[in-house]
Amino acid sequence: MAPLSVYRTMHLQPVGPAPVAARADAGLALPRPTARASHEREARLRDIVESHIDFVTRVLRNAGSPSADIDDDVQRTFIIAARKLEDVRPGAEKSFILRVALNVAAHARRTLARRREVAVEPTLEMADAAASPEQIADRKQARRMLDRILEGMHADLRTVFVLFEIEEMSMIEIAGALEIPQGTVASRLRRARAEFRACTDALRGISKSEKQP
Amino acid sequence: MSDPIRLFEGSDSPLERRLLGVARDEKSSPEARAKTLMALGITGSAALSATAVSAAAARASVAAAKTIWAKLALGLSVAGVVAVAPPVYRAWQRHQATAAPAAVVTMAPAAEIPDPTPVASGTSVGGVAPVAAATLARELAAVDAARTAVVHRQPRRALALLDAYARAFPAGTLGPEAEILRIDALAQGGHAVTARAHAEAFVRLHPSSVLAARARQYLAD
Repeated sequence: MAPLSVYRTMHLQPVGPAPVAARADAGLALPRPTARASHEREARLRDIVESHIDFVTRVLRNAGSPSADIDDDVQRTFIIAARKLEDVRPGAEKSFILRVALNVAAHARRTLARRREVAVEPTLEMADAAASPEQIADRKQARRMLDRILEGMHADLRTVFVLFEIEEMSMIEIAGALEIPQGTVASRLRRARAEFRACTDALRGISKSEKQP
Repeated sequence: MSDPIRLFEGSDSPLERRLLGVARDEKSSPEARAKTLMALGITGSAALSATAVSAAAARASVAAAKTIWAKLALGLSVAGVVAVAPPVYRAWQRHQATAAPAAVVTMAPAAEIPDPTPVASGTSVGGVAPVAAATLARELAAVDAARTAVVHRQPRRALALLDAYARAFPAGTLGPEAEILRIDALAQGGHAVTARAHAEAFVRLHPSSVLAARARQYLAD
């Protein structure tokens, strides 16, 4: 027997009933929350989505989720987070959803490695809607360069680097969210920065050599 | 322990600042946002505020829809599942001049539910992007109305709303979400065999989709 609906497991207002419910097999139905509790839960979920969806998208992208799967992985992250929403104290949502997103990205990286897929063009939105085709092409090239560098980093270094340099989280915040000592955060950031510098130096070297006859 | 200056602000390398700046500028797509709200069972249309759907996002939605439906058309032709394709899939295929007859359960006359308006009428001051953004919002409202009908166990109404959605948005961005709701509504209405057939087709087309888990429930028995 397959598990019941994800939505019922999440104790959310179901989008649709499971097949068993369609057969009026009420014995398998989980108790539904009261209307007020359901409303409050939905409001909290909505607020979490509104507040953190861009953050989750960037974390997934920079932690290794394939660009073609980003939309699915964003949904997956919030669905998993919603299952344990009652266990998350108010104010700790960002740290919690960050850990979920990192797990989803790690799973995506493993799946990608197995499938050996070729990455496709990123589909993420850029902040500047008025970018020219040249600027877009330039961004895509920059994005590909960054992807290459991040893919070469160890996951632990990559995570700290992304959270500090791209998400602008403080080292204290990162230590709390990842549940590691601040000294470890600082150490990983130093090593990640060194790798980043080495890679950008190498890229600059390639560019210069390509320009020279 | 104080934090060091971030490379984006303090690096002496323009390349480093450039790479990090590109990553910092990225945002979620409006499709991802709409689909996430939908997947969580959150009333989507009210949440999709005009400010959230930027002009840039709207342009991307058009490109994303083209990609999604191109993949669907290819998947349908390869998998040979057009016999259970929903109206929105068929409409997309007609659009590609490769349509085939399909059997679809329609439980309410079309006239009962007016079709949602696919695009804003009149002249668009803002051009194509705002129209596309408005279209996504209307799509979300249409699918959300169907979801509400399913939640209230009104399968006939839900199917009629989904048919109206398919007519109004033949290449809609939320086609997969609408198809899942159709499966739910069919099962609710006692059309277990048809619901299963739609679910099988969905899983074939979207095996790794988040929504595939919901379709697989109907294949368990």
